[in-house]
Amino acid sequence: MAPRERGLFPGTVDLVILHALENGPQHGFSISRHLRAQSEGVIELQDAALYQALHRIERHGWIEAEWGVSENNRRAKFYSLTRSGRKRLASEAVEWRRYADAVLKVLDAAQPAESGKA
Amino acid sequence: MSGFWTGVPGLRRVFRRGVATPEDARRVVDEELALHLELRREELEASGMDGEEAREEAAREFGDLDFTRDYCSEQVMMRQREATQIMRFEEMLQDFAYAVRSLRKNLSYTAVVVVTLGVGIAATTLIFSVINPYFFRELPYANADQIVQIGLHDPVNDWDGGRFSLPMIQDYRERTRAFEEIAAYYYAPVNLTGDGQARQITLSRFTGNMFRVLGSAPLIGRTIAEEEGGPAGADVAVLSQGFWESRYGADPSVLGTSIILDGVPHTVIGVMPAEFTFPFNEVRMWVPIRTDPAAQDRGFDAYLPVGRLRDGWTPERARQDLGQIHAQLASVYPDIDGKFDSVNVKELREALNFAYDILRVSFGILLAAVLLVLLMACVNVTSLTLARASTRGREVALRAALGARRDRLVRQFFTESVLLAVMGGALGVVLAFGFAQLVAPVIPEGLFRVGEVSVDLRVLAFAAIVTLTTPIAFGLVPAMAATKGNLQGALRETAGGGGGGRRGSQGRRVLVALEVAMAVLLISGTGLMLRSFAASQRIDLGFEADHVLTVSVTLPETSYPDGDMQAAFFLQAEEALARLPGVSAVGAALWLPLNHATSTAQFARPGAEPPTAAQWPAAVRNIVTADYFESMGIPLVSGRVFDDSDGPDDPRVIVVGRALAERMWGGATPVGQTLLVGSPEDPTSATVVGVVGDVAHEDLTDRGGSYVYFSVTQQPARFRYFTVGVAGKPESQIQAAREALAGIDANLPTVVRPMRDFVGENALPWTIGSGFLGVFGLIALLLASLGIYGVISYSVAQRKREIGIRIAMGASQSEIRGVIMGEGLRLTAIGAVVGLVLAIGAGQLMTSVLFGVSGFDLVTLGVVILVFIGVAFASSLSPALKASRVSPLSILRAD
Repeated sequence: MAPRERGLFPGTVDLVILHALENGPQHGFSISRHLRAQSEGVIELQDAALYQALHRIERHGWIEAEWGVSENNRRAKFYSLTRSGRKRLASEAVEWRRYADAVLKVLDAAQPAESGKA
Repeated sequence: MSGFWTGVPGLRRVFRRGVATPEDARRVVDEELALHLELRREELEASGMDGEEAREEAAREFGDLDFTRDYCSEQVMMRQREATQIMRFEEMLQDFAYAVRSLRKNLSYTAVVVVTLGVGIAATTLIFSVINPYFFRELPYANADQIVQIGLHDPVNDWDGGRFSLPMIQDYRERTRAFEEIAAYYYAPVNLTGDGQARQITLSRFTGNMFRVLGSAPLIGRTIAEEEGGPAGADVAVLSQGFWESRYGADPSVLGTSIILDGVPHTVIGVMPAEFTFPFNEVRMWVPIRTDPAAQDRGFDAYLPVGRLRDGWTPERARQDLGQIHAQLASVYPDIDGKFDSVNVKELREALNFAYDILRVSFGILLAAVLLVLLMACVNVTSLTLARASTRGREVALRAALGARRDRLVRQFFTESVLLAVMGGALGVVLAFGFAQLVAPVIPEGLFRVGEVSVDLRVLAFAAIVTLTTPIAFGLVPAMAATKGNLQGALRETAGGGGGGRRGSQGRRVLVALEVAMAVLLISGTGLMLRSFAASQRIDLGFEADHVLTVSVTLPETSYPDGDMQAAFFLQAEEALARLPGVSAVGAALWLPLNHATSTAQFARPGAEPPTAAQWPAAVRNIVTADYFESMGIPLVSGRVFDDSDGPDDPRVIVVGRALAERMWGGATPVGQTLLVGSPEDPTSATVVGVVGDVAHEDLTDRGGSYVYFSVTQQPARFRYFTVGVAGKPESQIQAAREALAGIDANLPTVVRPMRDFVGENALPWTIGSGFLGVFGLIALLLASLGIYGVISYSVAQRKREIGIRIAMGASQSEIRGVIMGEGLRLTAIGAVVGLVLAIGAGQLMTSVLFGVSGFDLVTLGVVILVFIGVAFASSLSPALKASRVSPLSILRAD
């Protein structure tokens, strides 16, 4: 499997992007760097997918964009969370944690005895 | 990491609301993606890659760039479209909220408009709900447009409802290519016994395949199966829903029970839903025709065929197909099929409705009238709204100054109109619903329709369309006018001054004149209908309708098998009826005038017979007792009526109508002459013993037709109508007459009705027409008066200063009154002249439904002119008085 395809479970792209914006507006490139840094390289979202997701999420009204100037003085499109984006992030995060916990519980449970036969 | 952007100047929205083109979207997306690639390239270069290689690597890492560009641009465009929609919706909500506020601030305007529109919409909706079951509601048959009724054209009576015998129908079924199947029916009264009180009801007999042709499903149970028709069939009965409810309390256990029809037991197998009324409303049940077609005389033409067209066959092509078959059969059977000269095919709705043509014209007139009322209501509302708009000049100017575009302002005003219309429509539907329930029971049962008069979904849809059309009629013009005035002008305009209001009030004058014209048109039409109604009440029918009670009796074959028993009963009944108080004479006839059941006979002078059978003239034939003429008040002109010397075995005698006598013998004495009567192939030779006055038989206007009366002694039958001449009101004797006959045979059903009822049914187009039109006329009159009053009052209010100055300059109160009244009269006169011209035109279109009055009736027009002079006076009097009391000082002070 190529590393970039290993990246994300389905449905989690929106979550990590919203989360990336939680502390303030960012442009696409910095979101990409941010994701790579925070997941210590585990999450590697392909850039094409990132930008598609950004525009899709913007259409949903969870983030909005404004033109600004980047660190090195370039015109860049900055995304920030909207109020509904914040709500979405909170509820998605809760949902995701519950799901992850459940998966972990299943994995940690004792193996049924029959499984040995197979 | 997040801190870098704070305080960055120049942040702005990517797009201003709703202005991006697809090119803009692509450019923005490209810029964003280019920056990403650029930043990545720089990163790679910093780590030691050379320029070109770094650029390629950045692009490779990015992934599918082209798709991402397309996808993102598409998302941008979609977002924008959605945003625009939301904005539109928000603006609509704003307009709506604004309209609600604005209407609440002016409750009297709102109330007047809602009521005016409500009445107009209610009237329109009501008329549509009356027309609906006759012309629009779907027939309760599968693919009803494929079903047609087939008739033969009888050249002697020029009658296209000629019927068929079963052998004839059999021939057409075998030869036709146009029809999938042809079935047949007829209807007749029967005596219903065996389940309580005996009753005479009307039923329809169907061939076994009839329900298959109609394709109708039962409410409960089943319909008549194909094999239940014919000699090997079964005596079963399917009930109408109404009959099932009224007679059996909607009890489903009636299925399987036995009822007795004319002495024959029938098993109830099903109930049809209320919409199924084939062929008309009074039919209470359906039973199979058990006759064997092969055993039937070909000349027994009692059946009406109904066929289902094959796919792709139009009624017209089917008519041609049947025409060819008729031509073949006519050459084989010249005496039977050959009596008719062509075949016709009619769609069911038209075929089953005896008054289709007259109804269509009457309903057309009513609909036109009621739309006129609605239009007048709209004009009144327009006029009010214009007046209101002229006082809103400052509001408009202010909003425009604050940046509202004109289309937005028009939309705001129009939203108000739509809101008013919707409220008016809601009121109208509620009113129409109430009125429909009042009107429904008054609508006679007699004509074919699908279900009752009621407000159904179709009527609601009609009301909705009407409602949403009215704002275009009354809201658009004021909205345009209100927003047209130039800004500075409007802002400068003072509350009391004329300025831009002048134009508006000029427009209102035109509207009011128009309204007067419409009212004149409507009221002239109403006048003509009222005059027709009055004429129909005054008409000399040739008999005394107000003092005759009719009693319909049909003796069942089971309890009265032979002629002697029947004659004995009839004699006893006649004596019992004669004993009732106030009865002057008791007669009887097989058919009643104006009851739409007619027997005809052809006739000729012996030795002077026309060469072909078709050329023999036809007369209305009746079979009566001697006292029929006296009881009905039909005068004896010469000779004598029937008497004891005209026994069953004596030579045939006839009494003829005056018109026939004059046609046949001119000045010569008709009494004692001989006439050949009946079918030309086998006429009866009869001697004329008397001549009586002619009567209206077919309808109220029918006069001067030929009448032949036979004696019931010489041509007995087991059914008849007794005609009881009474001195007082016939209604008071109904119960007594019923009891008198029940005293002889308690199981015999009778139908007792005053003769006036039959006349009333025939006057129905004028009764209903003048009733509805009368109400509409009053509404129109009221609307026109309000319109004139509104305009004149408004003009007085606007010209207060001018009037004050005139009074100050020495004008007398009566002069001022004259000026104002003159204005009202002038407006009315202009409108009335236009209206009269229209009314004269409309009168010509109405000729076919008028009776006893011409379409150009000077009396009606004269009365209308007088009425409108009165209206002009009445509605401008109060403003004129107000004007003459204007105090010149108050005007000066107010400035």
